[in-house]
Amino acid sequence: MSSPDPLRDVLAGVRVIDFTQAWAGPTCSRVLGDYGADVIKVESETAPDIGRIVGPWQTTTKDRDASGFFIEWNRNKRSILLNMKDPGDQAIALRLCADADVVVDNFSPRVMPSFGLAYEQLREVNPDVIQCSISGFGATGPDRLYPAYGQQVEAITGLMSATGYPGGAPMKTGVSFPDPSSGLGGAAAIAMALIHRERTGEGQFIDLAMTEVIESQLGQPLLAWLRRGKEAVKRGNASAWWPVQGMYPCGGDDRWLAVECHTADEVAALAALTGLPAGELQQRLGEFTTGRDAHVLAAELQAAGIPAAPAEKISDLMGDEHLRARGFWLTIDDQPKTGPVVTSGVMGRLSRTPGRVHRPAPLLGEHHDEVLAEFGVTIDG
Amino acid sequence: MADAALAGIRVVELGSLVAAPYAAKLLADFGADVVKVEGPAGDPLRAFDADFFDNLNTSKRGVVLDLETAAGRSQLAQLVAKADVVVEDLAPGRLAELIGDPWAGNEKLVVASITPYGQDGPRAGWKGGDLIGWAAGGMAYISGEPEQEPLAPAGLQAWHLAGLQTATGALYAVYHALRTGEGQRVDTSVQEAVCTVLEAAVTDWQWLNHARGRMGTLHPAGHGTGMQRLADGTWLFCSTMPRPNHWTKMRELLGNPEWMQDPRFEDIGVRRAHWQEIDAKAAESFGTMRREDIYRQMLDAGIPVGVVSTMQDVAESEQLAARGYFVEHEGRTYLGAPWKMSATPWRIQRPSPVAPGAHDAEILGGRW
Repeated sequence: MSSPDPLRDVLAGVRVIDFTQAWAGPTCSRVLGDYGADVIKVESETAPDIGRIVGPWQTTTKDRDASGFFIEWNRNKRSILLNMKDPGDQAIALRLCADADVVVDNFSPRVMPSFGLAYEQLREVNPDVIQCSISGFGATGPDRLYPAYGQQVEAITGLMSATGYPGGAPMKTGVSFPDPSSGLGGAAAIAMALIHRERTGEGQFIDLAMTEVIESQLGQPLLAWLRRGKEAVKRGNASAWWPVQGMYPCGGDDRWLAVECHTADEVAALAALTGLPAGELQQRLGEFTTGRDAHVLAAELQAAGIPAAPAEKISDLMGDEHLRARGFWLTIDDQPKTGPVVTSGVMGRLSRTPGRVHRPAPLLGEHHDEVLAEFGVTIDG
Repeated sequence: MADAALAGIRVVELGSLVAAPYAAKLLADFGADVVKVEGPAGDPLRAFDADFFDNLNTSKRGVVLDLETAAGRSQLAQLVAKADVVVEDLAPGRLAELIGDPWAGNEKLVVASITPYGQDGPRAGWKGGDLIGWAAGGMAYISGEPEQEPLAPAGLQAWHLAGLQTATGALYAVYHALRTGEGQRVDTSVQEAVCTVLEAAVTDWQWLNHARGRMGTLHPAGHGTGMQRLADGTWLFCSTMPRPNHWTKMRELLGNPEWMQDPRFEDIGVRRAHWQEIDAKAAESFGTMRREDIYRQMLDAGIPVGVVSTMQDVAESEQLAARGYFVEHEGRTYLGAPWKMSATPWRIQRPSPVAPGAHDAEILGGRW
């Protein structure tokens, strides 16, 4: 464990009360914690973060303090236990928020007001507070109370209808992609609010809809409809712009090479390397790649100036010499119950204040007493 | 401009196509003063898709500099000397070749760089692209159908994600510079941006030697593909029903069909084990219904379901309309705010630079 230092950690001294669960919200507060903020995660005995019960686990215990998903997305946070249906605990939560810089949640917009923690209520006790609410559809509008998981957001935003093999059914990404995108967006929004507060003393409310983060980065197919009335077409891995772009089969079990030629020079180099006619590379490149090693091929093509990469598996990436050389993976050395855990790097790599592991992911309620004491909360009886 | 979060923050964008322009757009629409530097040929995105270019370059002014000439490099150095942030997607080391040390005389400067593999390491010089980022970062391998090739999503998501991460890093670096006067480098690798969002893959491999493959729309914690096609051709997607009452509510909405009365299926674990059977039976029930018969009813019952929206559905969304998401500016429709900020609202400050060099006179004349 190492305490945040204002010269090395951008958010040293920034206090965050964190009501987030699952993936989108915890991604947001992980960014803040990585940069040195004191993130206090509010959970309860009866409703711990669902990340604690999805695993994976090293053993068969299903220990809620040892879930891999939870550890990965909740390093650098402290955990306290509050029953937010209890008026006494709600009062404690308000007390914590009164002394916080940032309050973040990813509930339906019904929930924080029901806890007495609506922005108007927070502002009464903490005029310059920054509150960031991440929800599926946003805090307003007819759909605002509907349930939303990241997977659904891929469907509702049109990302799925535009994605897929040519002529095939709608397809999604391999993860709940809108979750981390929205969490990262929340972290960007909070940075903007911190900059504004630093310059004017004014706090504010951030209303982040996962759907709107994804529409904003869907870009081209949505604009084609809005501006030209052209509905999206599933084009597999092919590009509307590039002469050669695709995923080609290689040797071994389920191994593939991505190739993406942006220029005529790159196409010519690929034709020379493979002996295939330049105009037929898009269709026939698989004849060349089949049976060859994807990693060897990627290096050969790149040496010839051609953009190429294997479709990496997680097993490749965790042993990858390039990622190791860059120090991408971050090890939590002192994670209780599991021992050292390797986790993904900080989102945004800053050279002087790079973000780091200050403390492991918390045991459920581990910091309850110390946090309440620090905030001067005394419990009667 | 007083109500813009980033008012007065000067940004030089040396970027083309999608990732760096998206990063700079996120700053520009929240009030940063962004100058987009293009070469004499212009950003190639202008030719590929003018509408997409227009949307990605709102709120920026544009200048043309020929960086092959000493005069162009000198003008770039003058812009960078006055900037708070540079957003750039040049090859590693290229910016220093062009203008020397960008921090000389401007210690607060934030240089936010996006490259396929980052500024250092054995693959720093490798070329990339959106599909390559999705593949190199490990997402392609787990996206798509198991019997077909790894698949990238629509809309250049690796590039957008890298752009969003770069903007985020730049904003925290700006915050640090405001408080300490100290600038720094933000080093985004598209590979790493993608590799950071692999859910629990890192511990899956570390602890269980399990490398997840492609599962189509099947969810590891779900009970089927979640894909149901209605009689009117609409696809519904509902891969997880985590709460016990989701199943019983769905049974009521589907008219209590016989197959759903199997008491074993009350248990999500049993449903998961029998997902093929359930998918086939569910297809019969959903296949007789239309969107208006079932979609809102499921949502009203609290079941997490999404209609697989077409672009037209998105454009006509009542929810997005109620929130004023799409924006008209000077007669054209734009994608709107990625998030709403009460004190410092998002706003298109101006349309994209209509032609390369549209603002040469006002910016290169020394008034920036």
